[in-house]
Amino acid sequence: MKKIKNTFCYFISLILLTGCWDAVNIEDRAFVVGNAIDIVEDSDEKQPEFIITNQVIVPAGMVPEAHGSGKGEQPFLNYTSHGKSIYSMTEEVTTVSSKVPYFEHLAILAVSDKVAKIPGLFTKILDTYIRDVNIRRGMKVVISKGEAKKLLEFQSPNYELPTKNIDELLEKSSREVGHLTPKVAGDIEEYNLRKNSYILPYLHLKEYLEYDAGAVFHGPKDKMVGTLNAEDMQGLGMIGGEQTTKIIDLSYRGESFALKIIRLKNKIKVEVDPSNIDQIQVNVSVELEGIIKESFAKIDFTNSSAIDSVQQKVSDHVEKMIKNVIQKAQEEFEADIFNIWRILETKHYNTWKKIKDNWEEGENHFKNVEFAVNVITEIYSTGTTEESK
Amino acid sequence: MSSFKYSDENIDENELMIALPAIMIGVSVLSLPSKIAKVTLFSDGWISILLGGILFVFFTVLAVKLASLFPEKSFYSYTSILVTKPVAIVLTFLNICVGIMISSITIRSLAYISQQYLFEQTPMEILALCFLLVVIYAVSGSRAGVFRLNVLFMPIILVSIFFVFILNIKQFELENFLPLFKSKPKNYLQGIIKTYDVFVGFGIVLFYVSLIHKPRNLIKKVVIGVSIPIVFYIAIFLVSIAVFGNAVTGNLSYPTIELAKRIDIPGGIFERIEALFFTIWIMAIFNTVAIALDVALLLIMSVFKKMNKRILAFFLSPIIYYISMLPQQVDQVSTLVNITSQLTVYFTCSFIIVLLLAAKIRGVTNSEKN
Repeated sequence: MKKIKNTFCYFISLILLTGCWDAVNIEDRAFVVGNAIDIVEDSDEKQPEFIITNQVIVPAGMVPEAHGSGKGEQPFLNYTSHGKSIYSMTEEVTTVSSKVPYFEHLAILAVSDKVAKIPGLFTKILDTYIRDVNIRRGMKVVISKGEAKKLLEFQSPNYELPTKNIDELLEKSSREVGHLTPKVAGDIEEYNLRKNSYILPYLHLKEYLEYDAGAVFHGPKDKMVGTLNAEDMQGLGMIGGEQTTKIIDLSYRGESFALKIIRLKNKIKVEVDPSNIDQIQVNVSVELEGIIKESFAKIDFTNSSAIDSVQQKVSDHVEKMIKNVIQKAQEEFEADIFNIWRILETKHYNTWKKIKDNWEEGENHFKNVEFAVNVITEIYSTGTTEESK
Repeated sequence: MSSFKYSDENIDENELMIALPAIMIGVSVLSLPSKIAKVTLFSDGWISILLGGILFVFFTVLAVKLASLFPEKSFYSYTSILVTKPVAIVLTFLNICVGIMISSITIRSLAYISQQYLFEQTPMEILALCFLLVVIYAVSGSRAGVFRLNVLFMPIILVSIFFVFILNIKQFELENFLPLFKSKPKNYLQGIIKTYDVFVGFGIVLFYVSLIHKPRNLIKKVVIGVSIPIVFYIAIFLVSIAVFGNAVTGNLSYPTIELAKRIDIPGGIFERIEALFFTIWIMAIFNTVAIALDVALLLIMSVFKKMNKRILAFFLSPIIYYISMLPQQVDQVSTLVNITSQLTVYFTCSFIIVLLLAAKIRGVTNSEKN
């Protein structure tokens, strides 16, 4: 009797313990790796209609063609659909592809600049993504010039998967060239919650995918207010960046040469008079160390006065660059993209409490901040040759 | 099926030391950084956790002092001596309710969170039932077994959270801590109140000290036991602040899980750490519920001495299941958690003081010392 009872127990557990309510076979999942959001032309700003592109991996196309079977399949498929809510459209992937979309590996969200320029919309879109428990906070966000959908169609010879291409572009250019570090959804949520201004990578698809500009988002206005071009971005990097491998092109005595920065030390100091909150003085000091990479001018680099004058020239150039971007930030965007507020908050908390609500809006204290820029350049090696012919 | 018989049903000081963090560390830790960050500025919340922790160390020591006055006497019998039998029955009954409530709300929260993060399709009722059945199985057996499970699980839990910290180092932004000490005293106080639900199990020493045969260094062990969660909570809070900053930490519902989600191991070999982390976390929650339920059983059996433990456990399970399924929405669950933990803390602290005073008035001293 006991034996029968035990056997019965085993069979019951065999059936019950092997089941899973949530089982989805891996073949039935559509791995979404990239999303692009565009807006339908002339759609209502209050209730905008979106065009959403989901990039889904096709695993068969990911296998390298080793067996000489000719050109393999494309490694991805883009599903594009129209609609008013992001969620309903992503669900459409299921009906089109007969697979369940799986967002855990979503790596890139591309938003077109048109969407980003509508107040509050970008924040709302991002909120939808952040709220979903399956979407990672580490998802990178980029703004595209023109249609975002196009970004997810561009294949480079190195990376056939467009999303992978964008991802690598962002990583490499920030690590090797000193571009802005890529911003992830979690960071942006932080900025939005604190109503800070920030900069996102601004991609432009020409013949190649180009990334050298930045899209400026204004915190209190809650929208994209403009772009910074390559030179502005470089100036910004001089103030706040930590990356050291930057190249500066400039002309000296009518000839152009390039200076590679190998060490960059920057410091922002804020001086505040607690009794007079209208006067905030910001001292930006930048110290550069570099080597001459390219020189078309005939300069004797062993001559110390020649080096001095080149150093002076570089300093002036960098100073102008920095001042340009400061002017743009203060006058054109009225956005604190240098995170001066953070220094005020941590070092001058009592003053910051007073001006917090009127920093980038209202009385606009940021606009009245006085900046002083001081650049020191040191060129300590001139490459492998002394005099170029 | 016959259950395994341990050679002794007693526990020792070390097992009690581990039981304290085991019951405290549970579901509420997942949302702790968020609750604290909401009421304090920048990184100041750790002071609230520390002060709250010290408060509970103090009360735990008082509870141990009280229970040690009556060696190897159960809670019911020593309260009967101190404040007459009817009052003792009421106190015991209320403590049984506390045990049942803690088990119910923990099971409900576990079911909700695991549905959010792991099983989207599985109904919450099924998740709660499965978990409850496992816990009932654990507590209907030997008590020493439950304690040994605690000892077994605790290092795994601590190591897993340690790994979550280490793997997040890349994301640390230390300027999130600054400026320091800008919160008002009122904020710190609010923060302390928010820590109640992560320290709520400290009262178990009242019931378990009697099971320890000739305790040695009990106070020291208990202080260590409560200190483990204090250190642990402060670490979790500071890491959340370092990774997310105060604003985002306050805005997330479960910052501790999000920490596990934020991990990004280069190479993309392993992207879903949080599933693993959450699985380990269920062990911590299992410990909480097992001990809370065991306290309820212990108290009932101290009043009704002839009861069969296993039948009693089966009898309690539908009650616990029913209570856990009562709240409809998430906010109702969190309100219930807040009310239960605050009432429990105030109730436990006040009766510890009253009983100690009663002991003073009646002139009870530790009989073993005389």
